[in-house]
Amino acid sequence: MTGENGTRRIDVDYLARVEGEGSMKVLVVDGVVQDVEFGIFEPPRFFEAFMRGRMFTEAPDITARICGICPVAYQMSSVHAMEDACDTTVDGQLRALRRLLYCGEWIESHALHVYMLHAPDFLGYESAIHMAADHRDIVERGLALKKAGNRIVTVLGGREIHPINVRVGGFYRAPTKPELMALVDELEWARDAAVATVEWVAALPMPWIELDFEFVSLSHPDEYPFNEGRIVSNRGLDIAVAEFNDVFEEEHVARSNALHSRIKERGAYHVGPLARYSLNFEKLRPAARGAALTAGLGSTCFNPFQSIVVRAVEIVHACEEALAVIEAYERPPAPYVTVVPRGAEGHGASEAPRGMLYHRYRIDDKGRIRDAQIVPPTSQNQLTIESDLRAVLDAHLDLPDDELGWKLEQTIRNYDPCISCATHFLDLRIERRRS
Amino acid sequence: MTASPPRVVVAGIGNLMRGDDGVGPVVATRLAPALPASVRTLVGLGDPLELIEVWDGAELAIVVDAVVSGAPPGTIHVLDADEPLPSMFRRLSTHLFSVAQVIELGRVMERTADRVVVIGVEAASMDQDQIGLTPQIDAAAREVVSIVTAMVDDHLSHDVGAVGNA
Repeated sequence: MTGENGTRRIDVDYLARVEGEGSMKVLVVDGVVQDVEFGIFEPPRFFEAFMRGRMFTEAPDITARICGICPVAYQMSSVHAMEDACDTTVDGQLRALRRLLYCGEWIESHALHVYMLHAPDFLGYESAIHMAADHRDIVERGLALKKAGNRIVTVLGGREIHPINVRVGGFYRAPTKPELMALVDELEWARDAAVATVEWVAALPMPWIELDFEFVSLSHPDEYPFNEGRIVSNRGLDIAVAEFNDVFEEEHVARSNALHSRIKERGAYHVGPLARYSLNFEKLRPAARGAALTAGLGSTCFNPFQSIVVRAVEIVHACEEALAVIEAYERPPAPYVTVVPRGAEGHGASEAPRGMLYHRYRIDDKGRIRDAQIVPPTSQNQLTIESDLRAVLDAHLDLPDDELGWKLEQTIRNYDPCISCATHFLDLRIERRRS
Repeated sequence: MTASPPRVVVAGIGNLMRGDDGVGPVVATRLAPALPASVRTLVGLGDPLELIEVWDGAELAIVVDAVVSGAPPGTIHVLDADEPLPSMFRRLSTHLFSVAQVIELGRVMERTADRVVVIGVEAASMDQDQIGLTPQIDAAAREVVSIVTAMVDDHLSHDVGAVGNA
């Protein structure tokens, strides 16, 4: 609305379909964007303090509670960091099972985001509920896909919610081959449904903007990254996970209790599906690569709105990967390797559905945690989200406030920001002034 | 695969590591050992959307969640979800899809329990540096356990066909 002194302001109660709590403020003076602030409230900071004094073996179960949507990611980064500290390698079928578990989480999280959170934006629906009224079959497919991922997490993780079967060194119990084979039919259906999903989202009305991202993700010589690899970027970065703090820094920003990550001396960077895809395209399973090419994607993707397509491609990949792991599975003789604590620092990074998740722990020789650092993908993307918002604002300032607000929400949702366990409102405010 | 839906579902929504937001899981945990096998109990759903899968075809679903509506902390709101839920279940759930949204989605997609009851417990604090319930809410949780137990007993003592509008 336009105020008496020429100030225009839009208030949107909260940002729907973004998990958690936060605020966004935009200041426009004389038609020029002056300031964009995207502030979030993030729980990992609390968990870092909470972990001190706990045993190293508790890290996976405690950190899994940080996020209701991606507990596996927290478990995986923490077990890798602890095993790094204790100089232990987990390989063979146990390593494969970890990939399988991660596949489940990717399928679940991506299906949720693509169908229930992001697609309504593109089709002009207020929510998935409104979309379901017109496209029930589509929403059914999304829910069934999500369920297929959920089933993997349930079988392997021990239960549906906050999987409890993961431990430092492996699992408490390794599944039998028949238990995993029971997933195959559903996963084959899911793979085909995921290919259909790619086709569907690629045909959605797509805003077009290409941004100059520095993409950062893990990269593994042979595999599309889940649990392992070096940290690479499209601007020449190529470091071991243990060097994370040499290259990245976190700065405290007053408006948010989250730390904003940046590459030292370079600034914002982008983690998540777009980064993974653009840095690892050739390592996607053939069906996923084929679906991407058929959908018109190239081997890199710099349009953040196309993240919906890339997520769908990653669902295809995760289904294929899961089927391959199950086919090759032989129950290991022991569900875990014994990990003996030692006084050391360990680093772990894995690819959460929303992007790279870094954990660092210092433990003593009794296995007590002395220090913890958790850098979630959303805080790494925060500067990039602000920069995207600026770009979208610059391109669309002529839009009426309600349409502009919608476009900004959609821009934030491109990142599927996970501010979970925090919550409540994201207060979206656009203020237009004349000097 | 689930062979057939449970007759009754009791779900506690919330995060145990966020103060009174954990009231749902606390109630479900306390209830679980005492409930019969025909009742499926879910403790601490991080994503209420899962309810769509779980309650589809059940006779009765009882969902316990923390709310903030401005009522005194510890107030217990018991609502039948036949009608749209008040806004406190819409915006103040700490979860991705609020309970109200999941109920609406279930209705649109015809995937819901015959009867859904939502019990909202007015939270005192949902600070993330607080683990466990505040004493007031802990007392309310005990009361909710009694309410749910009575509701489930009442339901199971009736014939299947007679409980739709209980």
